[in-house]
Amino acid sequence: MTTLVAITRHELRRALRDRALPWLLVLFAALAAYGAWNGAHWAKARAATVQLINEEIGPLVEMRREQLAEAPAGTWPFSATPQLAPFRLVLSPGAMAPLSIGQAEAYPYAARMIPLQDITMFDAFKVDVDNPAVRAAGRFDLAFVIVFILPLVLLAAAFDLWSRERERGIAALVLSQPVGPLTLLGGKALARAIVLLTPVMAIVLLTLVAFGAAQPDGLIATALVVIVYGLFWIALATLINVFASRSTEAALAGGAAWLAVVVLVPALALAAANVLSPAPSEMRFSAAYLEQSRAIRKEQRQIREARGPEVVADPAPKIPDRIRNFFKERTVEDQRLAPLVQGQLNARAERRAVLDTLRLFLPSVAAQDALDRIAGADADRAVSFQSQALAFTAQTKIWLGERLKNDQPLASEDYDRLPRFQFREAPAGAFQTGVLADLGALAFAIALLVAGAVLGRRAAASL
Amino acid sequence: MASPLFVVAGNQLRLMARDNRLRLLSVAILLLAAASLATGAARLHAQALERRAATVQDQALWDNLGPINPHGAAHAGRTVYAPVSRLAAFEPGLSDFLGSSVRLEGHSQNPSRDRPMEGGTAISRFGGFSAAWALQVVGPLLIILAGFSIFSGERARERLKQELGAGASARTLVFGRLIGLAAAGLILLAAFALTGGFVLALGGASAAEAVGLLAITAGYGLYLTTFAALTIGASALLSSARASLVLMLGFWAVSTLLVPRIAPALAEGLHPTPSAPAFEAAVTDEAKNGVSGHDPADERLDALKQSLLKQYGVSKVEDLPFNFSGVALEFGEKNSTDTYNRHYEALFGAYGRQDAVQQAFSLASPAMAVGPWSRAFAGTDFAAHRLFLSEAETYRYALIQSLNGDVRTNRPNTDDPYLADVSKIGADLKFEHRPTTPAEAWAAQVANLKILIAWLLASLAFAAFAATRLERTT
Repeated sequence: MTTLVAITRHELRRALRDRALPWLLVLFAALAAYGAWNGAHWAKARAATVQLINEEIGPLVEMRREQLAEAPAGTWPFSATPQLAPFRLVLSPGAMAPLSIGQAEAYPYAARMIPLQDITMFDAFKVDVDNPAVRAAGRFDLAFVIVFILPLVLLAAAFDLWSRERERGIAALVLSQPVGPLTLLGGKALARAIVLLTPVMAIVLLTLVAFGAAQPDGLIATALVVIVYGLFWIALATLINVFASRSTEAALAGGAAWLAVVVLVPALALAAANVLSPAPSEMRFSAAYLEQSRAIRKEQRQIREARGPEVVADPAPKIPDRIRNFFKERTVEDQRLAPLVQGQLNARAERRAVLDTLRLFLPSVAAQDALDRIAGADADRAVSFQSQALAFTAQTKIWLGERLKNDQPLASEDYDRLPRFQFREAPAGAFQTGVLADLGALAFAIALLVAGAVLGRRAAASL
Repeated sequence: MASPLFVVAGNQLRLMARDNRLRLLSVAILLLAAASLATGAARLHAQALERRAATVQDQALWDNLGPINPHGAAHAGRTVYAPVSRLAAFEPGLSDFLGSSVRLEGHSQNPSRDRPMEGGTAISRFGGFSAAWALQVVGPLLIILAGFSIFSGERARERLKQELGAGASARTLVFGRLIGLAAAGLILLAAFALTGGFVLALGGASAAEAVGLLAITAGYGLYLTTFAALTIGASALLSSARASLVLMLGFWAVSTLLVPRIAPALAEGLHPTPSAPAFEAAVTDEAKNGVSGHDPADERLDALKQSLLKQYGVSKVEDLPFNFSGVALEFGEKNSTDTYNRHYEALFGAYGRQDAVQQAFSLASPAMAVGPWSRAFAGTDFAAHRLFLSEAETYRYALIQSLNGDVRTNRPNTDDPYLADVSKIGADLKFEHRPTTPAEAWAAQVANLKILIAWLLASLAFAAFAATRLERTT
């Protein structure tokens, strides 16, 4: 242990003298700041859009109130019928949004709803008008800097951990001392980890705080992800140095490992998933939904027409009976369409489960997933919004049914008492199960690399 | 007797062919690209079938609307589906980020929807592997790995002294090895192109698609040769293999990975585009209040009504020889369409300015020029999508106005609403799509071709400069 500490101390002094290190850290800090600025800029724009959507309600309610005010005493305008009550359901960016844009653009983030609305209420928010060429290039956010660029910085600073000594012929001298190759490499790796990851973590946290992402548990979770992911790359550089006897060889192996871990293997895993477990077709679903919906409505219209003209009750209710019949018809339609909708939701969930499982075998994806979750830009949060919005719609239908049953139109003051949608975040916050699973996957990958280094220790001692 | 230049090139090729690591890496990349081509082609075939089936289904839904008020039918709407470019298997370009269908309805010019990128998870950010991506990112890396130590490093410098002592000029050695290295890159490119061509031929490619593939191959030929010249130049200029590797890997990382991500973000920052809800709100406001904001559509419609009443010498719309509701609908549709057209023009203008900023970055990275070139000839760029959007809009406007025209010419004589068989009203209107031609892609991409040629010339000049320095210092 004393030897390890002595080696680490010595290596710390050496690493701190590395003239390239400050430049690498300055480069990383500049890219991190730019990434966080992009993330913060995106979060601000999304928050403004969410506000714009929320503000749509005001003029609508105002118009309804004017119509109510203008209606002759004792009469109720059509707009007072409660099935027209307008709702806007929105998913605001998370408190740590500047960290990652993640999957927040791949899911609807709002819904325009009236109580009889169906799943199509999200459709308007599935489209975008930004430049697809910009979107296709991929977002340059802080998560990108951490997942894609941090490994390059770490490899650049640690790729010749041991190979340089071997190349210069110093390794024989060092190993002639009473110290094992593993202890030596462990000390070197530890020193590099301390010298590199401490400032990197500080840069990431300071950048986040500077751009307004200052949630304490989010910052702690981000720091943990940066450290564990960084340790994975230091461990990988160490393993490469166990086997590479020349620095050029180590550099090539490091570059190849980066390309494989960060670029090729995740891309190929995704391509394989697309073939073996393709995404359910949204186009087919939309077409089937429309077809079945129209068929049901046609059937209902025929039944209505066969029944003949509607008999108006005397005295006439405040809300006409045809609205109640309309409500009944839509309820039946919902029930008949439910299997189709549920089938699509299940197929989407199955697809996500496959992709989510894959991440546990891919360290870079696990790190990305953890950062997305901390930022509130993950798929699960977006799907949870949709589920909560659909549950809210179901509750609102019950509310509507009650009002129709009790013949209660919406009076001016009722607009202030409409049910309100409030998105409920994951209870564990930044330390939700998904983040812990990602950290576990990264820790397991580190353990595998360490085991590889231990098994190959004889190669490290060869000169 | 063979020219010394080609003797050197031949030797260089033989040396590289003997390097097992390079051979293995090249074959692995080629196999991966072939796998991506095959899976991509299968996916595209499935997409094409799905869109064809959806088109038939949409036609059936429209035909089965039954007796319906034409304006109600305009709200029910139709859907048209984007064509699938077979070359997308080779170069998916923007395909995953472009909507695959457009909902056509009255009053609205909807953006395209059903983008394949929707509904992903964290791993979706790592997608995009394709043959074109491999050529753009991995191809240069292979060239760098194969060429960084050709002149640099202790052993290479010793060998160089012997070669110069034997009478060879540094220029011959540099350009001979450059030909060898570039040839290796072009052989890999030819293998990619042949695999792509084979997959295309299996799918029954058209002549235009074959020309597209040739143009893409030519673009990547210029691109890879540029990297070969830069690598040879760096290797000749720097005596340390480590320095040469670090320099070229740095250039590779910046030009193929960083700039293609940073440039779009900067372009978006400089020329921002609105969010979809903000875009919609701006269109709605302008359609209602006019371009100036003080020219309400209601007043313009009222002025039209007054002029019609005056023209026909009547005092109320019921006395007009046609249904004024139809005229109002036609007016409304024209008003909203003109507004949408203005806003979409402004939006696409912003896209154009963003693209210009990105093109400026091609001074730092040839990848910024070869990417748009490749996408344009594959028919997977925004220009191809815009053509589809424009055709969809032309069809939508004609369809909606024919429905509104039917309302204008049919005035119900009773209190019952006017109903019609809309499948007959728009029967002569067909949505037809034609893909962008290679000539159109050429016209739009000449600037990028010039940039690629400039990069090649500059890299050759760099290699020549390095050869002169090598001659002087060795």
